Amino acid sequence: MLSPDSRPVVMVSGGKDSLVLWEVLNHLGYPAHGLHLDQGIGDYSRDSRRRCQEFARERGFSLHLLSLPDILGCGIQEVARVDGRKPCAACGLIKRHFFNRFARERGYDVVATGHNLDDEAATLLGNLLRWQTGYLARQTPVLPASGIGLVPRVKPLYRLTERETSSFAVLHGIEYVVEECPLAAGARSIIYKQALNDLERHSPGTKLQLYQGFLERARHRFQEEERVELGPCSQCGQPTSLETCAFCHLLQRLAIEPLPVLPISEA
Amino acid sequence: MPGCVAGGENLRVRVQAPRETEHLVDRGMKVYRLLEQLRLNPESVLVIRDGQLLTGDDWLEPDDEVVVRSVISGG
Repeated sequence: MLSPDSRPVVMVSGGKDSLVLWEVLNHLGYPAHGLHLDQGIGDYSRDSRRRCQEFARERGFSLHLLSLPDILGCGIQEVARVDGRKPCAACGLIKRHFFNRFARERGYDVVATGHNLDDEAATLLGNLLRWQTGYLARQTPVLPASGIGLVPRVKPLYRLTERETSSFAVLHGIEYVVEECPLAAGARSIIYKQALNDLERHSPGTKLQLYQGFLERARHRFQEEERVELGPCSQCGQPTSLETCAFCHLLQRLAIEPLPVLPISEA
Repeated sequence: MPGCVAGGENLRVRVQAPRETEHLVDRGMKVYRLLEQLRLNPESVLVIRDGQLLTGDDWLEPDDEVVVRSVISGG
């Protein structure tokens, strides 16, 4: 996942998982910098941004900031409304674009995210319930580099439950934003997590068996069927399976010109 | 909730799961029993007293203050 000389950038939201990951990677000796995206969700975004800044300052970590309202002129709710996506889907699309582009332009060799076992098992359950074979082929804790500018993405916490990462945070005095994203209320992923925790309660180990079993025994079957060729986007040059990537399509719908540079600020 | 009272020396429970609510319980009990009363899955929450994590078998005194925090994040 990481080599001893890796230079990772951690996507930090201010929540438990990303702050725990950031702390652990630095503790292990990696020069892990953080990148936070302010999504313009009122008080929630202000609290999240402040928590990331305080966390970085307390520990002497290096934090970079991107602001969606500064870049697009609106927050994620407005983006989702214009684009016709659910806010969580728009958020994921934008984050993947910015994080890969930031890492590529700034010379980080791996992007690390705080996805945990519950995140992965819930995503897997959702993909299985709808037989989303393309998503199943690409669901992995280690997404390798590609020759056309895809920075490797890793999820080092994927074997740990949310309860374990939360416990680590409390035990190590890591203060995180407890409040849930207001736009995630009612999200399917939360319903899947609750269902999996009901199963876990009666049959401990279920979540790990589901996800680990998928990685070891099933994922390669979907990969064989769902080979995707990536090429550079005609607008921004980021890797995509289309001629123009989904992010640039989004910019077109928002009537925004392609972004020549990312307006990054340092915390 | 069974055992809830209006005031006095009570076990004060602040639930962050995910909306914040407060409950008063008029007697001590084990953590797992409290979670049963609140109808919360132990897999989905942490129970914290004075910054310390508690397990299901830990005993809660009638004058304790505890936080029950959801660990589920979504999106």
